Amino acid sequence: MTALLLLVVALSDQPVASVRLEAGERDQARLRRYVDEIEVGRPLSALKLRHVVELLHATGEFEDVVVETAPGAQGLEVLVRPIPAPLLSAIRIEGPRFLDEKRLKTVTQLRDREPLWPERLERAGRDVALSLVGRGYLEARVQAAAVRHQGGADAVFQVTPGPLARVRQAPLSGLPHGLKSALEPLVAPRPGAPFARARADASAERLRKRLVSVGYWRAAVSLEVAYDPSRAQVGLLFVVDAGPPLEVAFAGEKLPRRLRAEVVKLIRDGGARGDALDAADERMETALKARGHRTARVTHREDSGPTRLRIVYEVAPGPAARVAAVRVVDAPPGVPAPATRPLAALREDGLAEDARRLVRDLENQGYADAKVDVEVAEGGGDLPVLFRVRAGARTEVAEVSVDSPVPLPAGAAAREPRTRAGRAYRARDVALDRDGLVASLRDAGYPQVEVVPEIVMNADRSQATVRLRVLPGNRIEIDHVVLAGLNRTREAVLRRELQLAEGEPLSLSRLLDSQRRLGSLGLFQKIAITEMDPEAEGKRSLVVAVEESPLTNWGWGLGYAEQDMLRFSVDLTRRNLFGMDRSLSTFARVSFKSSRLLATFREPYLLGHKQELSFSTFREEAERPYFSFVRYGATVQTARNLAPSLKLIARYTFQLTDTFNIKNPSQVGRDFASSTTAGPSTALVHDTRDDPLEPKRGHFVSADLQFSSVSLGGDSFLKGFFQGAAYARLHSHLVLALATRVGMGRTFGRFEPLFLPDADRFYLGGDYSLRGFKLDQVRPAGGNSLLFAGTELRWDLGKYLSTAAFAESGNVYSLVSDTTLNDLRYTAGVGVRYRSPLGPLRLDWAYKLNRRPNEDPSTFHFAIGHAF
Amino acid sequence: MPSSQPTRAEVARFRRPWPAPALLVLTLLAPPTSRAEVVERIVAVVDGRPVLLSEVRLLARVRGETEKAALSALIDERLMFREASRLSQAAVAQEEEARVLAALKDKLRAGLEEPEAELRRLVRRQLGIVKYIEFRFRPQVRVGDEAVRGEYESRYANAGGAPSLSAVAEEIRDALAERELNAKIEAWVKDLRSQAEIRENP
Repeated sequence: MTALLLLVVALSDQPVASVRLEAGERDQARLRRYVDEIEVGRPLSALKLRHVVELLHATGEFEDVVVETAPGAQGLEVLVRPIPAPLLSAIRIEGPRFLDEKRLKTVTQLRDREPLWPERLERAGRDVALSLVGRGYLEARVQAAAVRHQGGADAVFQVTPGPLARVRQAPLSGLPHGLKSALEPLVAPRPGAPFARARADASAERLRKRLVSVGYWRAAVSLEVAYDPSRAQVGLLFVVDAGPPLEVAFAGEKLPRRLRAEVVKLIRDGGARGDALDAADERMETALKARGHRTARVTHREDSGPTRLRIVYEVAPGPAARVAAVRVVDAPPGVPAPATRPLAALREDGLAEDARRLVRDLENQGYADAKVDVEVAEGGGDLPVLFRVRAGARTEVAEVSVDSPVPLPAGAAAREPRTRAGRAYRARDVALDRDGLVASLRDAGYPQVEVVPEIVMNADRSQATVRLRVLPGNRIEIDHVVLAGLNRTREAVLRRELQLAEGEPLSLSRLLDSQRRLGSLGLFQKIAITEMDPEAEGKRSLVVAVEESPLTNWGWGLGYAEQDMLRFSVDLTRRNLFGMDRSLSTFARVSFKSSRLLATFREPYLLGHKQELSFSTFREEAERPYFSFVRYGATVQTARNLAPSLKLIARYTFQLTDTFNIKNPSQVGRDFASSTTAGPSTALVHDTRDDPLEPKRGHFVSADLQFSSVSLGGDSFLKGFFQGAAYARLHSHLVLALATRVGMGRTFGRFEPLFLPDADRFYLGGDYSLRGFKLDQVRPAGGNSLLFAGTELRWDLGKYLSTAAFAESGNVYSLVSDTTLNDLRYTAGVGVRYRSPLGPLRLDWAYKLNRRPNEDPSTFHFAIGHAF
Repeated sequence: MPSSQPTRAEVARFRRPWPAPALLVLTLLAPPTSRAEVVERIVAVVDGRPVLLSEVRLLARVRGETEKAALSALIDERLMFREASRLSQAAVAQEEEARVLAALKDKLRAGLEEPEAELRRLVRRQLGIVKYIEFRFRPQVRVGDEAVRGEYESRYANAGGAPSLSAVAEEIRDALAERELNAKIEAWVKDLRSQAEIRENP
């Protein structure tokens, strides 16, 4: 009865006078958007009430949402009272600290802001206890509880570890004769050591592998554990079932060594079990059939050998067949020839594939019922192959129509279908048209859409009428987008990346795009976009649930550069500053000859628009062969993607360069011992490479223009640099790389010298340019102009190794007016590369083709990464 | 120095009962007592999805059960329907839905006006479950002649004037089939519950 009365209140016709949300000031603004579903001045709708509760619950922040109503003078007074969930804010340990908080978090897999429901805590406690058991505390007991406070809840683990169990003995049983001394050292943990189950299991596996390596391919090692709680001691027993020592023998046709080795490995890795032995049969039969032995048969048996059990493979290859001739009969014109060629080994699978391809080609020409039979005699020798085609009638499309009860989206209506009147009828085209229609209607908010092709043929099957019948289902609009899992990140950061707006149709492609954009922020380690109520008709709310990544990242690295030799770097990044996806990163690199310090602040949204801006300050110091310099300054940079692979970068730089230890002062304008660059620069980058570290196809083009002026506080010069590289795969193992670089600069102003500042000049020579020379050796003082072109052939030698041959030419000129193609330097060389996790490690030897007096004939380079 | 202890007269005045008219005036002048009623809340969460008080009340009314029993049934229905909705054979046609909805409205006509969308949702859920059960479990139910004979003998072993086996065989077969089907459904629900994360709010 009470329930009925309450329902009367819920569905009362009394208008809502006020809606109050019981939440903190900060949450009011955020949650109000959901509560505003309840309209003041109108009767309270049970459905809307329910929706409000569901929306608030979907944020993941509340364990209950209580809605109360009370009659007031003006109408119903509604109070919405969300009750916070116990969201994890910290982990604490009570009792002995066998695990620290960080380790505890890893063991329990508890995530920040995860609700601490009793079942979850029980599981977490069990995980901790199991972890302690794994360390030898076999009687460990762990109680986990949630202690609530203002900001969430702490997970408190009360640990009672119990005694540490130690190994009393660990003998081996069932060992084959003579193996005791080889196997006993592999036993772990040793008597007296703490018992750790994982170590004992790993030891058993090591024992098994050792037995396999000496021929006991069927070996199994099991572990028996007996715990004596009164002494806290564990008795271990490694029970070895070695089985007989095995070997493989081949009888009949001699097989290639590589195939035999492969078969032996297959059997050994498979524990010489029945399925592994059968797989070996099949592997050999497949290899023989690929050589034309159409009736090849391989069987196996087990024989007792003098010292070992022998698995004998009987290889009966049967006669080899070769293709004598290939004919295709009764085919309409335009059908391509089969891939099977005369004099090749006759392969049944190849013939079947050819027949399938012919059928596909015929279908593409409009022969919807085409069939192809392969006729070839049994046995071996040179055999003619006949493909007999039964094309049937060619069908043309008479009429195409789309029957849809809802208007087609603009994109779908504008797109011309593949199936068109007057063209050959192709089932595949119809399927593609159907898929295209389904995709565009799904994007227009019809997630359940079905498109049924209906094909009507005329009597002689020469004409087909194609009708695509659209069954749209209900149109779904986005009701609310609920954000869940945010702790430090502000809602605006997520909402500006979402391509899903409330009131718009629920589009699958936009949903995927939103997920991709959120992923590319790098702020979240988990992102899930789900429908809150998939059963709802008309309008559905989406829940975007995220799990935030740690704020601070740091890393270090060891590197190598020809000039610096070994260098060490460390970087530290603090992300998501102020919850707005801003970041501050610092980088430091030191070597015996140089150092670099860099700090960068990044703002992803400039003035409310998606426009990244970064501000960097740096200090760099380097000792080069012919001078040294210290440089420091600041850069403001912004970049914009004009197309998926085209980027425009604009920056403003202010930098001071102090050049010293100049070995040839006559080449360097005295005024440039210290120089200042102040001014804007711009770069356009087009990058279509498939892999920046190891490109095999695509190209990379960039053009830079830098301006500095005395009126902006720097020296006056204009400098441009263009570089381009293209990559093409000539063969499955061969890649051709081409590169060119052109640099030109000049100073201007009445009192300016002719030469660019030292550190801003162009240099050539070294491991990344004109490799016949050492670093900067082409013209040690550098110049205002540079030309370079190079080509390299890269040949893969396997998974890790490759080799290369290259030729390069270029030069550096004092002034732009000195630039000439008649004074180019030429070098050529060869090298090897090893693919490492750092990138390709490269060793090159290059020779000067037009050596000048007093120059070394050749140079070695060792570097990381390709020259271009 | 005045004493902090109340005098005897003060104590007597304090203990004197308030006259009835004064009580009446106070009652009338007092602000109205809060008559706030809970109209919606989350009573349970099943695999992250909330079960609401209004849903429980609706089911309790439709089935004539207590709210506690209705909550348990609703959790089962949620779990079953989630499985059922993955199977296209369990999809509910609009005509079927409309027919059952009309029957349910007839049944509830004397009572309150629940929102139609809620009733429709309930009907769709229950129809989907029934169709799933018919598709998945009904074909597995087999009642052999031996089982029918055994049940006949246990029913009428000592009864005088028992009907012939052939007269009641179909009835017994149907009863046994229903029993077996129910056992399968119970096992299925038990399995679904064991795999689900269910939290009931106090």
